[in-house]
Amino acid sequence: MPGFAKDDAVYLTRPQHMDALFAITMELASELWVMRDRLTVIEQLLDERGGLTREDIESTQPRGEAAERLARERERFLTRVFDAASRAGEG
Amino acid sequence: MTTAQPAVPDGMRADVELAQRGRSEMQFLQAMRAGLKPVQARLRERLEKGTALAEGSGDIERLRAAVDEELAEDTDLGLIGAALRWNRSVLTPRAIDAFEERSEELTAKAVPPRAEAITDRGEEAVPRYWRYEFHGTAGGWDGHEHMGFVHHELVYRYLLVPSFPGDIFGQRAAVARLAPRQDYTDICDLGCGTGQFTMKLAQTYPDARVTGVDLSLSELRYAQRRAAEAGLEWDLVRAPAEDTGLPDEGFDLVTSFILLHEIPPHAIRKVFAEALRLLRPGGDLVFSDVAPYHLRSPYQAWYDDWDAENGHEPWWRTAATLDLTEVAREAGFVDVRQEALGRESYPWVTLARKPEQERP
Repeated sequence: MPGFAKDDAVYLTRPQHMDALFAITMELASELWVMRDRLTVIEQLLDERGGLTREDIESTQPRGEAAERLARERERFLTRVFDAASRAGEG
Repeated sequence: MTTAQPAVPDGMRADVELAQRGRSEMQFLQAMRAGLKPVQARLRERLEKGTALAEGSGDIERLRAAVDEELAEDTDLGLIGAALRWNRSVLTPRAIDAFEERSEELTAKAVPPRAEAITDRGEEAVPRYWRYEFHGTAGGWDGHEHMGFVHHELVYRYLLVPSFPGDIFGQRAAVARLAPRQDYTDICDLGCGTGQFTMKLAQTYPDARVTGVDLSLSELRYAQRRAAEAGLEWDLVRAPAEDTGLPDEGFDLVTSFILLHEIPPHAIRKVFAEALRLLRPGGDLVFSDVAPYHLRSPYQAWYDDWDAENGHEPWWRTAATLDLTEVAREAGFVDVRQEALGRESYPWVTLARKPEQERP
């Protein structure tokens, strides 16, 4: 191209950019988990009560089987994330 | 193993409830640790099949170099490092956000009953090592008015209790019981924080007057609250453990629990000298800290040292390689001995006695 403009721009070339991308990924994963947890709480409250308020969502403290289920899902989610990273490049 | 929250851990309030975001963000951080465990287990398996660990745990620099060489082409350690670093970097800010989200309810549970009763030696007494944000505690240990509550009730509950092996409060109780006498009247706990070990001392020696010393005012404020909730009153002093400003020979037991690995070796020597000054003749010293590398398995010694280097623990290596019996004897203590209370020599306890006064 004439003038002053990059055609094939590449920016994330420093090794630190790998850590930056990792941090972004974890922020997104954390946010995804917050939403999954919230949805689970909403579904549970709807099952139990048929309706809910915002304060119901905030004040619900998952206990017993509900807490165990969320914990299993959380651990499975993060195990998959790190397993995928650990096994990247394997045949 | 799952990451469900256990019943309220020992010594923590039962009535701390976070809003949905704060709760699930803290649980996410714990699940990250759990999700890393299979990757860490595979790395350990590879190391144990290899030759580097045969170097042994006697010389940590050689062991680190051998493992570095063996892992030169391995990508998992970088993954584990990045994940733990990110986890630590957001832990305190997330916990503070979770507190703020429920600020009104939680502040009422955090405020000290008599903050003005805490003796403060002031900024000029604060040593250089305190300025480093060890453990990666963003903003420092006084970075929030209620950091003591945030650390004790949220960081311990959501992350440290579920992530670390063993009963960490039971370990504190076992060390408190190890002091050789039953009739202490004046106990000084150096580096007391929110009083986790101090509480075990107070429960083990109910007739003793208890003094707690720490550099964090917000930790001391929550220690005062915790003591008050238990019907106790402690003398609390904000000062470095090596320069408490407390009177000579005012105590018959001086203790510390996981303080020494947070401070440089010259400060460790001064802490022993200060303990000798604080003790009456015949008084006891009980200091519990990280296990020496040479008593750990090679894998555990390697991991301790790697984790310290990558986890904001600048003085762990020196503490884990320093002979505390020699330090105690040089300070003037007698009857110096050491005892391992658990797996892989942790808790590792140094006990010593101040000599009886020579009679004229």
